[in-house]
Amino acid sequence: MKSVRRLTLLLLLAGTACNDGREEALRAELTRLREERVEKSVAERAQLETREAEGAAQQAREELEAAREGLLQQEAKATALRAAVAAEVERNGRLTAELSASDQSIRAELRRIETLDREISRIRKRATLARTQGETLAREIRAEDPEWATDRRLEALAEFLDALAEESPQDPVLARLAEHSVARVRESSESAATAGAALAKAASERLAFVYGIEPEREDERAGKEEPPG
Amino acid sequence: MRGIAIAPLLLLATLGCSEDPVPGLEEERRQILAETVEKQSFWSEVERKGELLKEVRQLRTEAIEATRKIAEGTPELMALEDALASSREINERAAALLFEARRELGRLEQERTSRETAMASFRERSRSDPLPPAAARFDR
Repeated sequence: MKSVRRLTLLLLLAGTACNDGREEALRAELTRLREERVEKSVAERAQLETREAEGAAQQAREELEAAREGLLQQEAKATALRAAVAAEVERNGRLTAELSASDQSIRAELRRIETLDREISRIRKRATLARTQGETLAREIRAEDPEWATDRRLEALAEFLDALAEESPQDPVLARLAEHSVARVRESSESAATAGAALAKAASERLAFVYGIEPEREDERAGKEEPPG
Repeated sequence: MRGIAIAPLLLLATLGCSEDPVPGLEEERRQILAETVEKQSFWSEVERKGELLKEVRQLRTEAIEATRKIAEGTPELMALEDALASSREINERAAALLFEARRELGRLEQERTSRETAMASFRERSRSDPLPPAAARFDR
C-alpha cells in the first residue's frame, strides 16, 4: 500500500514535469487576456460608431460654419443697409437744404425781377410819355401859326427840355438840347416854327433811342388827334 | 502481482503527458489574440465617440442659435431694405425737384440779367454823346 502511494506521487510529479509549468502560466495569461481584451467585432462596431460620430461632427461643423457664414453675411448686409439708409438720410438733409436754398434764391430772383420790371416799366412809361409830349410839340409847332403862338410853344418846348435835362442829368444830349437849342432856334436862319418842331422831334428821338421805345405808330397818333367826344 | 499494478499507472502517466493541455491553451491564446483587441483601444474609441457626440451637440446648439439669430435678424433686414428703397425714392423725387428748381433759377437769372442789361443799356445810352439826326443841326 505504501508503495502505491509512492507511485502515485511519482506519476503526479511526472505529469507536472511533462509541461514544465507552462499550462499554469497559459491559463493565467488566458484569464488576464479575457479580462483585458474585447472582441474585435465589438471594437469594430465602436470604431464604426466613432467614424459615424466623426461624420456627424464634420457635418455639424459644416452646418455651423454655414450658419455662422449666413449670420455674418446677414450682419454685413444689415451694416451695409444701415450705412446706405444713413447716407440717404444725409442726402435727404442735403437735398432739403439745397431745395430750401433754391426756393429762397428763386423768390429773391422773382423779387429782383419784379423790382427791375417795375423800374423799367416806370422809366419806359415816363420816357414814352415824354416822347409823346415831344412828338406832340413837334406837330403843334407849325409854320402857319401866328408868331405869338409859336413863341408860346417854343417856351413850352424850353420848359419841356429843361424838365427832361433835370430828370436825366447824366444825359449830355438832353443837357445840350436844353441849354442851347431853344436860343439857337430863335437865332436860326430858318423859321422858328420849323426849327422848334425839329428840336422837339430831336428830343423825342433821343428818348426813343435811350429807352428803346418804338416810334409812335400812325394809329396811336391818329387816336390822340381825334377830337374828344 | 505488484508489477502488474504499477503498469497501468505508468501508462496513465504516459498518457497524461501525451495529452498535454499547453498546445490547446496556446491555440486558445492565439485565437483570443486574433479575435480580440486591447480593451484600452476599445475604450479610447468609446471615449472618442462620446467626445464627438458631445461636440456634435454643442455644434448643433450653436448652429441653432446662429439660425435663430438669422431668423430674428430677417425682419430688421427687410425693414432696412424697405427703408432704403423708400428713402431712395423720396430722394429721387427731391433730386428731380431740385433739378427743376435749379433750372427755374437759371431761367430767372437769365431773365434778371436781361432786365439788368436793359437797365445798363438805358444808363449807357443816356450817357452816350451822339446827337440824334434831328438834333445835329442844333449842336453846331
